[in-house]
Amino acid sequence: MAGSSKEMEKVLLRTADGGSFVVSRCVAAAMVAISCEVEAGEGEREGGILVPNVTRPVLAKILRFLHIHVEMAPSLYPITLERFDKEFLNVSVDFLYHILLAAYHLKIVSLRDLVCQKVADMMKGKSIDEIRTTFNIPNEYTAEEMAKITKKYPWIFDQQLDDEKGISVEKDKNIENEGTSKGKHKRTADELGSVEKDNHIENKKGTNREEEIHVESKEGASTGKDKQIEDKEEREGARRRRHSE
Amino acid sequence: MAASATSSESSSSSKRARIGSHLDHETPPRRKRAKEEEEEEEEEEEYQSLIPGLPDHLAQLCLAHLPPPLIFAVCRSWRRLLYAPSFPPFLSLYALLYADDEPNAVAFACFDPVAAAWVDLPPPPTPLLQQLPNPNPNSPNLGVLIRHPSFLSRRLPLQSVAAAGHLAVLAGSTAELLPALPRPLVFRPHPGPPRWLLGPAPPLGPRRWCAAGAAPGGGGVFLASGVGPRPHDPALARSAALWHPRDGAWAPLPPLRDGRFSRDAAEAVGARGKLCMVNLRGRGPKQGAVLDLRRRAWEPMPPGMLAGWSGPVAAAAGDDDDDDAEAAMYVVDEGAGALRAYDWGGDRWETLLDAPELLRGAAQVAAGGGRVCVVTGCGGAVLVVDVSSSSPEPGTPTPPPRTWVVEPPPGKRVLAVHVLPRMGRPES
Repeated sequence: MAGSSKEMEKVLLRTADGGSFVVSRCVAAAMVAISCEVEAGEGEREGGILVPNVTRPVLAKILRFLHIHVEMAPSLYPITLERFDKEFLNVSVDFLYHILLAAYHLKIVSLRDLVCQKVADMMKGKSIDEIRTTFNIPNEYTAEEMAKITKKYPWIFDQQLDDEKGISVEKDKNIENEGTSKGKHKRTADELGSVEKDNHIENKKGTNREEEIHVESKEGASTGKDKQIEDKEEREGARRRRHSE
Repeated sequence: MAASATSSESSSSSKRARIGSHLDHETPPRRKRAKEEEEEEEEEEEYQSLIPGLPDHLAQLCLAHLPPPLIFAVCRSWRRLLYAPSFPPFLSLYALLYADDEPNAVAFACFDPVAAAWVDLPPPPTPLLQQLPNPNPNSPNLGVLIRHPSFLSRRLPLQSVAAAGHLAVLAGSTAELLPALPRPLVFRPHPGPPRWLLGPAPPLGPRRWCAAGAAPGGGGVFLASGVGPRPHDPALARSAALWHPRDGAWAPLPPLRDGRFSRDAAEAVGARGKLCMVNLRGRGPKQGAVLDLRRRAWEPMPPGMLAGWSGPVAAAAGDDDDDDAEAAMYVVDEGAGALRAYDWGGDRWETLLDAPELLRGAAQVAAGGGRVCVVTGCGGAVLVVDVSSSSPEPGTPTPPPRTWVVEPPPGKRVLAVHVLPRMGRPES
């Protein structure tokens, strides 16, 4: 359970591409694929645990998720977690796939399911053409077949088809999409920006493996304001990076 | 793929910064890679991955959240997935049909609401049919008597039940006025390939008619009372039993107090831990009984429930006890032509839809997936009523529920309908 002293012990995690993270034991153990090694105490050894199938930026992202959901969760309201999840997954489709694959390989079922729901939610808001374009799916149906399909669906069991027009084919949400995609791309650039900065710092510092990139838990951040936590962590992380340069 | 991620992300980040780049015609690196992989794969085999960039088993998890009509429309591999045995099945409308010109030959078909098309069920295999008294061994249809030449104005009952994901045909009569089904004829659409099987013979023998229904919370097929080969059998008229398709035998239930429930084919409706039935179809004075499955005891039917039981009744077969706790029961008042829902707290029936021109003379009803499906008089159409709407603001009038009409295949009429998962198909 998060909070007991053993759970809060630090373990070292490394990635194949040179990433290195120090996190709480409970966070590391939440990645079921390496939980045996964590339990066996391998994270406290010199070389730490080599986390397979994941690159540094993706593991950083996942550790952030686990930090909130494993360490912070007991002191956060459910709505705070929901808002965090929403912000957390507001990334490019590419990065989303990387997170999903990593969550699958690391056996983090809750994150895997969350990303799958997110991919589905991204599709639900779009017309059929938009789905095909965004997710790179070829259009195999002739115009005739599409006409037959997209005539208004009378009814199905279980779900309400909200639109009166049933499933829409037309790209009538271009402007909306441009707005959201712009937001998403901006976020990605930011993330990649911070990632590149980290690369730079690591090279400079050489083999310092004690870098803690904004995944340490915070005392006193238990009031449930997730935005504050994120901002605080971001600032602390940046401060540490500046100090170590 | 993971190893090259960082470099490709930083090189594509400059391209990605442009507005709406996912709508570009120029192919960014991710898509180029996926396309090359696809082309390679196409050379080996005609394989289309569900979501390029993700392995299929993860893509499946994503697609499972989408509405079936959307999955149906995007591409062929998605459509195949929709019908794959491993994919959560959407509900469909199963029907027992008969032809105008051949009323005694019963056929089975399923209306797939996503494809908006009727699909015939695969015929029961010959070895199964041979165990039933079938006057026409060459026909895949079930040879039971619906219209007797001497009683043209009356339809003899053929009783079927949807329970625990199976369709079970339980009771009917032959031309010689004997039980047509020595053992229940059962169809399982899902999981795995659709298959027919014969269930175990009911205790005390097969029935020409009985009280039949689905036990609540996915408990299986309930059968009680009725008439067998002999017109007068008091023990049979009082008996009751339960069969879950995974079991090999019927489990006996406490018998009824007397044989009054044997006079007519009755629906036994399972909801909220109880099985409710009456001893006369349609309007007219009747008696009711309720079996409380937890206490395993019969009790009288609440007076309000009995008073409003003026036509075919159905409850949505929940999968488990949690679903069942909120189960709803519906009646079609065949005289007034109204659909009503039972108010468990107030012991009264609340009208949901007044539609005399459609619902008068309704023959049978099934419920499931937020819909109530009514076989209108003469079996010429099925009225599908949406009963899933959320409650409106207090004070505002409730709008009437949405309805749709499903017509049977040409030349056919509907005997009965049931709500069950769609059949699995490898290709569509």
